[in-house]
Amino acid sequence: MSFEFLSALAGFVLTLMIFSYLVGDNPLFRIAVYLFIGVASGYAATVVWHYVLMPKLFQPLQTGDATQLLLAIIPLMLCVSLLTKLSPRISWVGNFAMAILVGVGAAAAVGGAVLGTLIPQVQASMDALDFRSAASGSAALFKFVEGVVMLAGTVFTLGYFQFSAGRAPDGTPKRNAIFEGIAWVGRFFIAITFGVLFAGVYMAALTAMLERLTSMINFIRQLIGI
Amino acid sequence: MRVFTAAFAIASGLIVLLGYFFPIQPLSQLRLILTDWAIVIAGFSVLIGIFNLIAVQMEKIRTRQKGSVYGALLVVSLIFTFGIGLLLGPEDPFMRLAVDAVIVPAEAALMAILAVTLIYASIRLLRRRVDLMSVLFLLVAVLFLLAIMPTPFGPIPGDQLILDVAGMFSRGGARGLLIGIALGTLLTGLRVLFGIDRPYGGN
Amino acid sequence: MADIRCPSCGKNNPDFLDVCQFCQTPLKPESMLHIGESPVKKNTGELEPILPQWLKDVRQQGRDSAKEDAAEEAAKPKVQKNEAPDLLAGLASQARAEDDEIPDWLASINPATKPKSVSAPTPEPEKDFFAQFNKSEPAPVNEPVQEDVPSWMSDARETPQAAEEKDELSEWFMKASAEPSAPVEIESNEMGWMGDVDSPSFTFKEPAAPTEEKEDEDLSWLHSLEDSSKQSFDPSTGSGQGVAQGKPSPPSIPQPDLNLMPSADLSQPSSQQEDLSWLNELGGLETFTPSQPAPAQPTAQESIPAQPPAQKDDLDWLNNLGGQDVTSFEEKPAQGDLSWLNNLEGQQIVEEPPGQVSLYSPRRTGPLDGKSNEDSMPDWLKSATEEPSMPPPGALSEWFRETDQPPLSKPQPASDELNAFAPASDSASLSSQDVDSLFSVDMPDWVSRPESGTEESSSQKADVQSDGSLAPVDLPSWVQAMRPVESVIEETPSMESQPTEKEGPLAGLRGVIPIAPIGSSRRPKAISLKLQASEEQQAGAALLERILASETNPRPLVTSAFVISQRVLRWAISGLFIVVLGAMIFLRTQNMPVSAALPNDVSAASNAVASLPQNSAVLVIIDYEPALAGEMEAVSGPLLDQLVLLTHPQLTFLSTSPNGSALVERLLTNTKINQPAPNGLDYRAGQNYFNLGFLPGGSSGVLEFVQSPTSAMPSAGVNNLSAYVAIILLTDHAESGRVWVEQLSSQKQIDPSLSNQPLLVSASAQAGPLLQPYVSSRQIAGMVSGLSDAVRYEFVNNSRPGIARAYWDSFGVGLLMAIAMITIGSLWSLFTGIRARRAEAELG
Repeated sequence: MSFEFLSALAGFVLTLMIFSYLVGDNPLFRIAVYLFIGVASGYAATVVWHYVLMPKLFQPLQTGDATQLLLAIIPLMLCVSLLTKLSPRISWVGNFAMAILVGVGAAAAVGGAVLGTLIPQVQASMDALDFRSAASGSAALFKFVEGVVMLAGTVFTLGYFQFSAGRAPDGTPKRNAIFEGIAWVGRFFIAITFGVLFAGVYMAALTAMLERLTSMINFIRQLIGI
Repeated sequence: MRVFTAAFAIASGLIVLLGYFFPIQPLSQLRLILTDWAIVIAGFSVLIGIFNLIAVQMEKIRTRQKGSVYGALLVVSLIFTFGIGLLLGPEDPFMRLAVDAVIVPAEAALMAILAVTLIYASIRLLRRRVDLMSVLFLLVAVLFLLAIMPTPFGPIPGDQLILDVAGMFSRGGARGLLIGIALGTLLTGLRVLFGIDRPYGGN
Repeated sequence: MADIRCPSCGKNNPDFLDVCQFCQTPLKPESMLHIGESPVKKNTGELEPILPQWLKDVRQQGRDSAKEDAAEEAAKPKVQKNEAPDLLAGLASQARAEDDEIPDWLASINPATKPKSVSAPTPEPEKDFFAQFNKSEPAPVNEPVQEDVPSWMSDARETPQAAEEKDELSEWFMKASAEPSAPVEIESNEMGWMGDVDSPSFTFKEPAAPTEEKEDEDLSWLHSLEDSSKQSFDPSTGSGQGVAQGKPSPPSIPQPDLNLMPSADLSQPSSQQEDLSWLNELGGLETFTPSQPAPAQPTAQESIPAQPPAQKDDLDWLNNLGGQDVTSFEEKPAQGDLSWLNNLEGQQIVEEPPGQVSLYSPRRTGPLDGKSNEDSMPDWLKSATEEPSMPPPGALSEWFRETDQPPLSKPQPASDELNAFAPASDSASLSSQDVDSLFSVDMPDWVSRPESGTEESSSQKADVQSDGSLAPVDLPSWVQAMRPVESVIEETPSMESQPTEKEGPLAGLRGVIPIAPIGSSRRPKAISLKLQASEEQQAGAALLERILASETNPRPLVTSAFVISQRVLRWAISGLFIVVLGAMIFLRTQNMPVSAALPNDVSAASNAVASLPQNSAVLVIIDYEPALAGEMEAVSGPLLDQLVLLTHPQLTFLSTSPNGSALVERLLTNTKINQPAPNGLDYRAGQNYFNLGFLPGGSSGVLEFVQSPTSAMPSAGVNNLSAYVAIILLTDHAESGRVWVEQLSSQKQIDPSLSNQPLLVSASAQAGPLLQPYVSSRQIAGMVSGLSDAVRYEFVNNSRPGIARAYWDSFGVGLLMAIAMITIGSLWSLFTGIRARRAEAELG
């Protein structure tokens, strides 16, 4: 038996076990899921060890350069301090490593959000209204309309997520009337967007099902020789 | 102690953030070192998480909780896979067999079940909630699927119009969502850089 | 018996109860004393007719027993007994401790009864107060009176001869009896203890028969004293002084100190009045006007020289009382000495049986009918007969109210009340010996009691009743109000079963402290601790219990047709999908047409690939999960195929997920890139493509890789990102795509060399709509989103590799089934929902 046949056979069996969930929850489904989690976790640990820790943590220790050695010891110490997170009593020791991780991640997120999304998207919203680059009148009109719609969708969608409100005379929270109207229009854009997203998710799931059914049928065909 | 950890976080964050706007060499070098340390720590934290998963399942097995048998299967498969991977490496055909035979089929099958679940949920949506937004949501989804759906007779008339109109509105909404996400990310990141939020245990 | 319903608990109670026996709520509102109200004083004498029958019975029993005791005592010879110490032993011990303190007058008081008292307990300590007077003790008599002698006795420190003392006392009482006796009202307390005193050394008169005239009863004891003194009087010793006519003289009656008599009105002109001043002071004898001058009684300061100095000192007052032979004493007319006693003759006199020397007769403790000769009675007697302080009117009125009881009889004699308050314990009462020793005179019947107690009392009841020696006692109302409640009394043994106290101040009494056997069922009825709830409250409590029980009970699962239909629907959808799609796949149909018009985004991607230089390095980022590996392989296949076919690039694969690195080979295999020719493009690992592995850290890792690929991935081999001519991002979720887009965009602003580096995205159908804005902003050069774009792209690429086309027909059928099920199912759900809501609205 080749690996391909074993792989196909295992895949076939696991797929059937998981498809059994459509009938109802059963031990076969649970066995398949727990097996998947165990194998996936083990493979992830293997990948981390081979692709991260070994080349970036242990191999630099073998270098003779002091600077490189120092730069390798510090992350090693930080990684070891992370082990203290397993004990509530001494978990405070790993706070330094977590502080570096959180600080760097926050900075990267902030920089990317500002430089990668906010500015370009705002710029794009303004550029969408520039119909001077349009070739023909209809194209320009369509472009202008598209720009207006996109701008409106952007503004109204952002207005929907503005939940700051004052207090009505009866004590209930109540937003400004203008914001209330903007939010009401924004709900239309969000509903349309989510409808499109729903269709996309379904198509992705359908494709996954097609892939699984194809794999199973090909195995059967291979098994029966047709 | 909390002050030191907060200082570490703020200092490293400011160094990285300033590197976006001031690409001077010392700052870029320091920024590179810090991000490298963050990568290593992130990688090691994945191992910590896997080890914690083992500990939780072992505790379930020790206390004979319900479902502990499945936990035993999880632990055994994990240790076995990790052991083989340490010995052979992730590129070994055996490891590829684990991926092709277990990981991909299992996840793909779970995703395939999602297709049935989505259809079932969309059928029962109007039974529970009948309002304009629900109807609009389902209508757009159906129209979009209809526009994309191939027919033996060719594409349906107006499929492109539907796609363009729906796309136009969806792009506007998506842009608003992205900008909103970016603003939220900006606010959260600044709170961490200012030391207001300390998710690293400094509070 | 009529029952009264309690307003609080609603239970029935006997009508004679004032408070509910279950919840202690007053049964009769009018019986309650409300705030602000003051009790109304009532004449308890008027309440005599409404006394409850049981009270009457008890009182009658007491009177009967008193009579019996008196009769028995009178019949029994006086036998001096050596009894246990009694409460009055203090006086005796006081006298005993200092033999010198025994006043001579005490020793000489009882000259007549001394022979009758069998033997003087000379060696015996004066346990009994009365016993000391029975001694023929010249010694104690001769002892000088010391300072600690009771003060009321200090003034009478005379030392008459013992015999002479006795004679003097006898004479005194004789004189007193000869004098008209005033009505004496003695409080019940005073008479009570004396009535139960058991003093065999004294002869008691039979208890007086219950009579209406109190004056006769009051003087009975005096008469008895007179009689006894006469009978026991020894002429050799001299006539007893101070003995009223016909009344025996108590041999050893302690004579109080005249000086200490409260409010002693010594206005008696004669010395005889002064002799009896102590009696005046007892009760405030302002009105006491003895008909006869009282025997000469020296003042307190007056000392009468006697033959023996001590004797004379002790008996001075006695000389003054009855005109003794002692020279120091002034002889007083007997009549005057006992003038107050003569006044007492008006009271009922209890005839003592022959042979008995009863000095005292039972006295009525208080008139219930309010009749009292207040004018003729001395003040100190009046206080005993005046109306006592009133208890709460409600309690008394209800206590006395007895509608169903037979008409009340006459007030019972005092002995009944005395018996009612007799001690429950059978302790030794004040023995007759003690009484005798205390007074050294013949005590009346009511002062001492026989030893047998109950039997004697029961046998003597009739005698007492008949003889009238012990008058029935009319208890004041406040005393009667102190009686325990009937429920407790009912639990206690009856008066007849109660033993008579033998000693102590309750000697001779019965039933004062009822016997409550320990551990027996005769306990006061316990107050019900059960919650008294009405029927309505109980019904509410039962309902609450049912509600709470229903909360804990597991609800039966809804296994109705609604749940079954849900399961059937899910099974139907699953089966339909699997069957139809499986059939389509099995048949490998490719009948669905594919449009050749590429979307703009796909066209841009295709154009970007075509513009790439040959044999350049291209970075391919595997950023999707194994779940959507099939779709991503179908979507990214045409793009990679075109790239490889057109530019023969060196592909560098990088993954930001741990499992993504394992998908590289699968991708290249399914897209036939690494398949050997002619089926594939014969790309080989390590030569044509490299797998850098897993890049951890999320945005931080991307940031580092974007800054320096070698630092992030040492195996990358390039120091700058610009070494890659293009970056192809394969992603199934918008988040990871957004991170790459942001970091690349920010890096492009720093490194201008990256400005012409296209970013091509091959996205899943679920990530495409959210990445469209980046396409619109030209941050993404081109994007292939979903199977629909891939099949067209593949079609344009001469159906290479063909994965998307293989799925296209099944994909179309799947979409058609979804559209049909969503449309039909939604309409059906809408219809049923409206119908259900209408039905609910109709039901209300």
